[in-house]
Amino acid sequence: MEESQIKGSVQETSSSGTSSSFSRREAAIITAARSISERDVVFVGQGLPVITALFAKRDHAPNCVVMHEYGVVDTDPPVAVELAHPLFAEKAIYLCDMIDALASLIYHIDVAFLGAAQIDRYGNVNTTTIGDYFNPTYRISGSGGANDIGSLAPDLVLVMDNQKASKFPEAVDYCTTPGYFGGSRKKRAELNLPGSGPNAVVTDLGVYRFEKKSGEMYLESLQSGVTLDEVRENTGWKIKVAKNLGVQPEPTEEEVQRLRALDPRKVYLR
Amino acid sequence: MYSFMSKLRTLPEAVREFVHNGAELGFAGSGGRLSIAFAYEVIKQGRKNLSFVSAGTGAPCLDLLVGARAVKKAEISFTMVSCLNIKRAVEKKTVDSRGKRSTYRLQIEDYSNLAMSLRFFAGATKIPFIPIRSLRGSDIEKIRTFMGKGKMATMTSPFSDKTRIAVLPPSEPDVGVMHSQYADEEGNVLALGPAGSDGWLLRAAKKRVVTVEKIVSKEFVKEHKVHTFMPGFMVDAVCEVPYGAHPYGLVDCYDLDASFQKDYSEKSKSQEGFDEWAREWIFRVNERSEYLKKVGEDNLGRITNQRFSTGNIFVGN
Repeated sequence: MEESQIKGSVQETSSSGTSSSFSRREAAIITAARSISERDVVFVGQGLPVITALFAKRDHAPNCVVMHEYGVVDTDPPVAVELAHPLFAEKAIYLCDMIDALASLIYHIDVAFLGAAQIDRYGNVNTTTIGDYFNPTYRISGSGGANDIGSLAPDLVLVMDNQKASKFPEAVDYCTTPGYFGGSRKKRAELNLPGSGPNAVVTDLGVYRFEKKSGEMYLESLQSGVTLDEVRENTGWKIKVAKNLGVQPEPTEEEVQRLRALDPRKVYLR
Repeated sequence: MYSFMSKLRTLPEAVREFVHNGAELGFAGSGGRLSIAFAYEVIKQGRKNLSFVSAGTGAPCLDLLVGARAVKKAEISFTMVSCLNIKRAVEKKTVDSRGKRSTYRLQIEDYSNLAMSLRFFAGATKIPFIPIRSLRGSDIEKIRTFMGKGKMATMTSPFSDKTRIAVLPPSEPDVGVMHSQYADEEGNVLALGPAGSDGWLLRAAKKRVVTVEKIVSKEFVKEHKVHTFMPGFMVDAVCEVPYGAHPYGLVDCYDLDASFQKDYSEKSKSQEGFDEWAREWIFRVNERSEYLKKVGEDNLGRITNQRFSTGNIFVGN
């Protein structure tokens, strides 16, 4: 299976120089956004994916198409708002229903982005409950469209900030959206899941990819200023590391300012 | 005043007529089409042992009904982190102020947004089951609560030997509820904004109640038929309820009321807090006009000025 390219890993730092101060969350968003190209059709889930795609549109991909599951297609709100906010609908080219968005249009997109409360060693995602499902420590949001997007999208990137071992466990507490199960890409085909499964994970600590056969996650590159030890401390299993471990270019001053201008209400940049 | 064809009801009338104890309620809510006012009235009339279905967007209504301990079971795909009543009714650490664990629990059967949408589609079109390409291999498929084997199954396509596919049962709630912008008194409903799965949810329901910002003329509906959501013969009751989605925002009419929502979230951190909130905003409010007066003219004016438009047919309240 072809792995999609996270283009940030080969992108030059822009001429405006590097930023002296940016939060780790901002680094995760900016790094994830760099993988979006001009004219890509991008399906976004709740949370960080929203600001990731909107930032790409403001930054380097003004004509990328941003859509979400409630039936809002090709939208361009001037500021970042929650997924269900009416501003998304106001600025859209097309409004449709969930079946159209999640069961038909999704096969024609370039890439989908999903957030997660937990991502495990094989890219399985949990957004439902932490702890025992029948007596949970925390109830989170449930699937929403995540299971559908993760099962059906032709390319998938997972985004998470504040990576720590409990959010990056060996196995998720509840598998809302399957990645590669217990370590088999083949199982997706056996279950007739049309989607590619996750091709990359972007966190505030690094960028990760999945091995060809097993679908096991490995560290491809570090976020700027992050050490390998930090990644190991904040991962719930002994993570494999790419032979040529890269470092993501630091967010530039310009990128950081542009990102902050997009979220004046601090919906995502809390 | 009711003509033969009129579907007009007051909100209390509609709840009395269509919502019985033990009923299964389906709440729409895409683009802010949440009938919060209907949920208030269900709570006020003291309905109990309800079931709840929704494809994602109805969560704020579920949170209210759970706060009032009116719902036992929910087949849903999404709740928001701000739905603290739901969290409290599900999580294990839940205790009251005396350190006692509440005996009220909400049982959830988890689906995905597409799964609930397709279940409504099957209900609306009287298909006994419906295939879906997602869900396979997930814990949504494996872990079941009150629906057991009835939650979903797999089958082989009759047109190819190899394709094993998940199938879902239809969902046909007793009452489907939506708040919308406009309708005429025959129940021809205009709805602006993203569709979500509201159309299929309402069509799947055995009875359909639509609360609207304003009752308009049939001519007005005809003029704006590109936005017609459903013809009147499908609708059982229409209630005129200005700001019926408040404190949520309704496309074309008003923005959400952030300070009201914040106060609600703050109060619903505990059952006692929610009970106090409900006394103030539901039980001690005799009429809808009183509620709006309590929210305040300034507040309502502000959210109206901040409205977002998808159809540009705002006619005011």
